[in-house]
Amino acid sequence: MKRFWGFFKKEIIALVRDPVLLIAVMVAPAIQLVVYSGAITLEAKNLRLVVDSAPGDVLMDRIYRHAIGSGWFVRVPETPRDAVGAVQSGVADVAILAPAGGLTRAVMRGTGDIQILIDSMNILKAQSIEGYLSGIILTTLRDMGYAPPPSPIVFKTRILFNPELNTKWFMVPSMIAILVFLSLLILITISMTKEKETGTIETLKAAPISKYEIVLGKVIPYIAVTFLVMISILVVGLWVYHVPFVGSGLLFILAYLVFCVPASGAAVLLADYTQTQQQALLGVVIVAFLALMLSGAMFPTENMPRFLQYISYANPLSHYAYMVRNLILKGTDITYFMHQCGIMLAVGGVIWWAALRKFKTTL
Amino acid sequence: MTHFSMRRARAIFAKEFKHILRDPFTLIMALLLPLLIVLILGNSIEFNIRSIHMAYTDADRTESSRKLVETFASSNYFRPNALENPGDGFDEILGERARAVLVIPPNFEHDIHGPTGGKVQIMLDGADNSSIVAITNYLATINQNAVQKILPDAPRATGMNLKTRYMFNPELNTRWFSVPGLAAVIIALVAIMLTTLTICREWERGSMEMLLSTPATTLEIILGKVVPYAILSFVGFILVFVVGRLVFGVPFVGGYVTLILGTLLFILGYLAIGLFISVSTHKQDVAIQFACIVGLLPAVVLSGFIFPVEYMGRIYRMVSSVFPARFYIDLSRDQFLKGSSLIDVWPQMTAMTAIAVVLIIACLVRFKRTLE
Repeated sequence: MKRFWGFFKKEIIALVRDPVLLIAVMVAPAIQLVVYSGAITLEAKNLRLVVDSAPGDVLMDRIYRHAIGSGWFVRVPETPRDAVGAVQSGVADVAILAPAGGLTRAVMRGTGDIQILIDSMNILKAQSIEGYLSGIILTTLRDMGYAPPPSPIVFKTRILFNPELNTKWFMVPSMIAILVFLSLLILITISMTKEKETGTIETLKAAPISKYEIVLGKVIPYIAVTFLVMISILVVGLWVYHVPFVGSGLLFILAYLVFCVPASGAAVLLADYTQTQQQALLGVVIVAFLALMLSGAMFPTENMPRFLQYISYANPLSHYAYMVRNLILKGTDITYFMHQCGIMLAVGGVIWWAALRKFKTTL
Repeated sequence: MTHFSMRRARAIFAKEFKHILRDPFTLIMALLLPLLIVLILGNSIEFNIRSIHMAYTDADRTESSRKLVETFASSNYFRPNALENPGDGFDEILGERARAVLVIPPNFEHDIHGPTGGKVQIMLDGADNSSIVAITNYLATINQNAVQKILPDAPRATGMNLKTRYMFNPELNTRWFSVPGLAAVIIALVAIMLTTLTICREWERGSMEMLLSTPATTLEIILGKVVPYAILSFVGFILVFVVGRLVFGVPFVGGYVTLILGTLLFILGYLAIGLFISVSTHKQDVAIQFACIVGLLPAVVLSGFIFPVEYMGRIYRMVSSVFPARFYIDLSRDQFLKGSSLIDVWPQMTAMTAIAVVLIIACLVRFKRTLE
């Protein structure tokens, strides 16, 4: 225990001695959380709209005014003569084309096609433009009494847990999981490869301690440091973006400790296979990037091909991200909690087995 | 100090290149990483969601209610799953076993023919924000299909039709959207990771003094160190491009000259970011922290790779303009899908050039200052 305490102090001193490093480790995550959660939004804004209509087309003008008034769409600075060309050249994101002879006259006639032309290079944007515009057009027509009768089947949709679909409520838990994972992975891997590169690992190996003590002495200080990081970003996230914390704080901490098993194991395994810090950096980035992209923390991954779904199922970050979201926004479903913890521990066990097998204490 | 000498820059280039060749791990990573990432992520990113788990309770138990559930099932968007107890719906979402819950009340069939219409309740999981827009869009389609299925004789909505045409990606193919963006994200990652440690490693090992005692100038050292990684990153880009075209069938309608020129500017910008981190610190562990902060998330989150930059607030748009990725993703999507001419993409080109020039000057200044 005394030996371990010595280790602990050594790692902490190495971190605290360099103020720039300390800021990068302790303060940067909170800033990142605030910036990324604040930046990302799925609420459309600044969509450039042009309308191709004949002068005096009252209905078309009304649709245009509604669209601009909604806050989702903005006017194109100088109205181009050709609406199709405006979308083609990238001056506008979307164009509405009135039927021949104008919309007002077409409505009187009872038939006609309103065409919507959307730049779909970004498919997310294209989908939301379609949704917003058809809604606006339909409401405008209905207000004027020209819309089709309402459907005989009514879907009353209720959105649970985040009724206003605030993207920040979704991003804050995801960012907590991602930043915690990054912190653990970088700190542990780099700390171990640094000893290898500078050659001090030989001194450690020569000392009368077992490999378990070396590994634990390397891992536990950073689990403690990351814990502080997690608490700080949780507080900042909840405070800045008014995210409610519905679940149990105790389970939240427990979830972190369970997640540390596979995450720190992955870091040790990565350090086993890298000799220099350059290699460690590349390794950390590839592991972190793939884990992040396949985790469902930012965008849905449920529709991956089967073989990737298996990888995703073994991805501890995926389970942790869903669990953090579940705990913060929904409250606690204990069956779900146990299930996720079970998977993380099982995956963690396999990773640790591989990591310790490779870790050599002999020269 | 003498004038810029090509010979000396080449010597440093050759030295750095030998470093790379001697470290097969880095070399393989730098080339394999782009290939691996584009293959995995090209397959995994999909916004057209299918098979959404939906729990339902049917208190009506009539032909109409069965047909409604059938409509959901046959749409392929939803996978309905019957619940015994109507009160369990909430728990299903709480326990992450369902994303949506459909509750059909008694008298549903009766009400359809009445003035109020048949009302059903749908609960959606708002905690997963990323798929909810798509789900709500599907519900509108399903409503129409259900009406046709249950009431085949009902008067169709006639008159005004909305016709939507999507330009440049008519079928909203996710691959066409994700692969050009992935190219940017991957190159950004590789470029930063390769250069961040080049300078501070030399400081830490003490070999920098040796390099400085040679007649090589700052510019020669910096260029000699950057060019090998620029070549490596460009090879990575070619691999991603080939995989995107051949494996994922993404069209390419633009000009090769425009794309290559843009790619080189983009690579230069990110190498300069890595280099700037490297000259700003003398320690590798500090540099690594900053490389991960600057390299990993901004290219994914702030670049418009997935989340549109136009939606962001003014401050965040300014932050995103610091990184060349935002401009390159615009350019890359444009060249793959739309094919604007070199003149039309001048804003992106200018922005990337400006970022690269500013950063390289900053590197030179910073490097000189450390020497003094």
